[in-house]
Amino acid sequence: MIVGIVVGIVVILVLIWVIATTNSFRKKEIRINEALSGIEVALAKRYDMLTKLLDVAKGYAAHEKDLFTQVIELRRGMSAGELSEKNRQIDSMAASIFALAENYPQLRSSDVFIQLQAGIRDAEEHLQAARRLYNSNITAYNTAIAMFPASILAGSREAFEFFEAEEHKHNDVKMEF
Amino acid sequence: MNNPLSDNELRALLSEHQREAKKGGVQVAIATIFVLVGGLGGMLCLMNDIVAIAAVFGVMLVVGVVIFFGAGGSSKGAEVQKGIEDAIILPALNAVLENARYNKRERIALAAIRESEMFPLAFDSSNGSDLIQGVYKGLNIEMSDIRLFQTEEIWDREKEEYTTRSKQVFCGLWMICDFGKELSADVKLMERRGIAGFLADKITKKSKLFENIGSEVSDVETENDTFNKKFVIRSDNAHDAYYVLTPHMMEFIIRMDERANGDTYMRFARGGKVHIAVNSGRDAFQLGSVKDWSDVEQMRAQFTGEIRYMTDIIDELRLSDSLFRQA
Repeated sequence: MIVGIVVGIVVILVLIWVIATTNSFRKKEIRINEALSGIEVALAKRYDMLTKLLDVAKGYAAHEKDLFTQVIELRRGMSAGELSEKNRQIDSMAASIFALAENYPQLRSSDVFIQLQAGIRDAEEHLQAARRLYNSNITAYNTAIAMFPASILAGSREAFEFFEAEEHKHNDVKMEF
Repeated sequence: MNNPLSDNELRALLSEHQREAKKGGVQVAIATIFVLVGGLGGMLCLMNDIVAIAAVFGVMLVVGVVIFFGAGGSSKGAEVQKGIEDAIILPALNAVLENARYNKRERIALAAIRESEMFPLAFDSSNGSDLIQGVYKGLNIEMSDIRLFQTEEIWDREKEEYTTRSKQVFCGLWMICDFGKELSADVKLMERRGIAGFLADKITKKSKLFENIGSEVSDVETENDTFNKKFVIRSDNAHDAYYVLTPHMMEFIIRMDERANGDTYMRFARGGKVHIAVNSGRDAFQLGSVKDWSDVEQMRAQFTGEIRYMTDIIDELRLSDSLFRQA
C-alpha cells in the first residue's frame, strides 16, 4: 500500500516535471521568435531611415547613380542567417551614403540630414538591443536543451543559430591618425 | 545672489561660528552640572531637614537654569549657512548647470516620488532638504536629499490604546532628470537585498509578512551575469530593457552603485524621465558637522564631488547617443 502511494507520488512528480520542462522549452521558443521579430522590425526601421536619407542625398548628388539604384528586399519571416545577411547589405549601403555625404558639406549640415542621422542612430541602438535580446534568448534555449536531465525531453529539438555580428567587427580595429 | 564672501572672509566667519558654538557648549555643560548638583543636593538636604544648606543648593539650581537658557550657542548659524550657499554651493552649481536653483529647505515633491513606483517598501510620509534644479547639457534635472517614513500602529499595553510610530525606510539622494529617449514600457532596476535583507524587512516589520514576496524576481535577464545578480530588472517589454541597458550602461551602473555605498534604484519611465535614488543612509549634500567647517577648500571639493557624481550619471545617459554613431 505504502509502496503504491510512493510510486504514485513519484509518477506524479515526474509528470509535473515533464510538463513544466516541455512548457519551458515552448516558452523559450516563443521568446526567440518574438525576439527575431524584433530584429526584423528594427532592421526595417533602419532601412527605412536610410532610404529617406538617400532621397535627401539625391537632391545634392543626383549623378551618383550607382548608389541610388541599390535596393534591399526585406520580407517577413526571414531566418536569423538571412537577417544577418540583409543587415550586412544595409551596413554597406549606410557606409556608402555617409562616405558620399563627406563630399557634400552642405548636405551634412542640412537640418533634415542631421535629424535623419539621429533617427538612424536610434534605429541602430534598437537593432543592437533586438540582436542582444535574441542572442540572449538563444543562449538560454540552447543551454536548456543541452542540460541533463532536460536534454532527455529535448528530443529532436535543435539549437538555434545566433544572429551574427558584422564581419568587420570581428577584425582588429584599425587606428588611423 | 549677493556678493559672495571671499574664502578668507568665509573662513573668519566659520571660525567665529565655531568659537561661539564651543562657548555655548561649555555653558550648557556648566549649567547641567549646576542643575544636577543643585537639584540632588537640595533634595538630600531637605530630606535631612538641613534647610540652610538646601537653600544654597537651591540657588545653585536656579543659577544653572539661568545659564542654560542664557547659553544661546552661536548666533551666526543663519549667516554661516548663507555664506556657504553664496560662496561654495551656488558657484559650484552655476559652473555646471544652467538656470541653477538651490533651496536648503525644499525637496522633491512626495507625489513625484510616489509616481516613480520604484521603491519596494511602502511609505507614508517624507521630508528632505537641499533641492537643486537646473539644466545640464540640455537635460532638466532635479535632485534633493529625501527621507521616507513608514507609519505603523502599535498596541500600547500600558495605555491600552493604539499609538503610531514612524520608521525611516529610505535616506539618501533622489534625482529626476530627462532621459531623452522614448520607451514603450517602464524599465525599473532595484538592487537585490538578498535573503538576509528580505528577511530583515519582515523581522523589523518594514514590510508585512507576504508583502514584496516576489520583489527579488526579475522579469528580464541580461547577458551580464554580474548585473543580473546585483539588480532586479522589471519591465513589461524586454526589448526596452535591453535598449536602455547597453553593456556600457550596465558596467556604469555597477560602478556607480559601488561608489554610492548604498542600495540603488532606477526607473526609466515611458514619459522620457529617469528616476535615480540611492539609499545610502545619509544626506548627500551634508557638509559635515560644525567642527569640520573650517577648511573651505575641502568643503568646496566635497560639494563639487557630490555634483560631479550626478553629472557623471547624466553624461553616461547621453553617451549612448554617440556609441553607435556612424564613422
